[in-house]
Amino acid sequence: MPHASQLERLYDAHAAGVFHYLNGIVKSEADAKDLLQDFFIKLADVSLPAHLDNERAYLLRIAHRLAIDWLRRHASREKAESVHPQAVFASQEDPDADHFARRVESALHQLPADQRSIAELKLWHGLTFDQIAEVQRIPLNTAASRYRYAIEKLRCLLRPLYDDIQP
Amino acid sequence: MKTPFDSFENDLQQLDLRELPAHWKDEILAKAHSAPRRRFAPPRPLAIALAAAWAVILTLALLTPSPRDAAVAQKPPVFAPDSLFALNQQLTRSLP
Repeated sequence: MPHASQLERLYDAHAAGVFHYLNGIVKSEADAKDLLQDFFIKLADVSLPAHLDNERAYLLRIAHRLAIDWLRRHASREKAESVHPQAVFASQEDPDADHFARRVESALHQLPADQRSIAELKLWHGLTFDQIAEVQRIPLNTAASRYRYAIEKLRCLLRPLYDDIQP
Repeated sequence: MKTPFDSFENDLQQLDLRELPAHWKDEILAKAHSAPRRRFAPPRPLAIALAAAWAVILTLALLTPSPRDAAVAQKPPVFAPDSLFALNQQLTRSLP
């Protein structure tokens, strides 16, 4: 069982990332927050392995299982609550950059959930394909190909805007 | 497997994830600390199966004679010398 200060450190380092990952899967901020709560209750109850290659990957594996269990329990609700894109990225001072961030959120929302989650793990959590495969318990080649599909779709969806913004 | 990003991926990666509302931290950590600790408990079907298995094992153990009892039962009866003497006398008396 982690000490209170360790749990606080884990929160500071990973809570936002874990929340956005959960939110991308369950597509509801309220449910993602509940799952984040469950995630920390679980963390308070277990001991983290002493030597972790990648703490974020280890924690995301736990979060992924929680999210998959949630999806199994709420299969019928998933489609109903995925109408609006979630706010994933911080506001940018530059209006063009902020517009681009909102468009990326919208494009992410249009990706299939399995491609979106892998794009998020790769781009914003910095995981390797091996780690992604481990987090989601899928073959490495599947992780790599889903990522490629996701990037190509994002490229297509953002092309006109991205071409305008690019220097 | 680490693959290099192209410029599009780099631009995406530059976007910072939104921070969580500050008050969530205290709320979530307080609940995490005060939540009752979970003890190991097998899933209900497994618990029922285990209980049934133990009931069968105990029943069989009670109904099956132990090997020592079986060995004793197979041995010919051993008579005490007094009993043998009395039996001998009875036989002698009964003979013509």
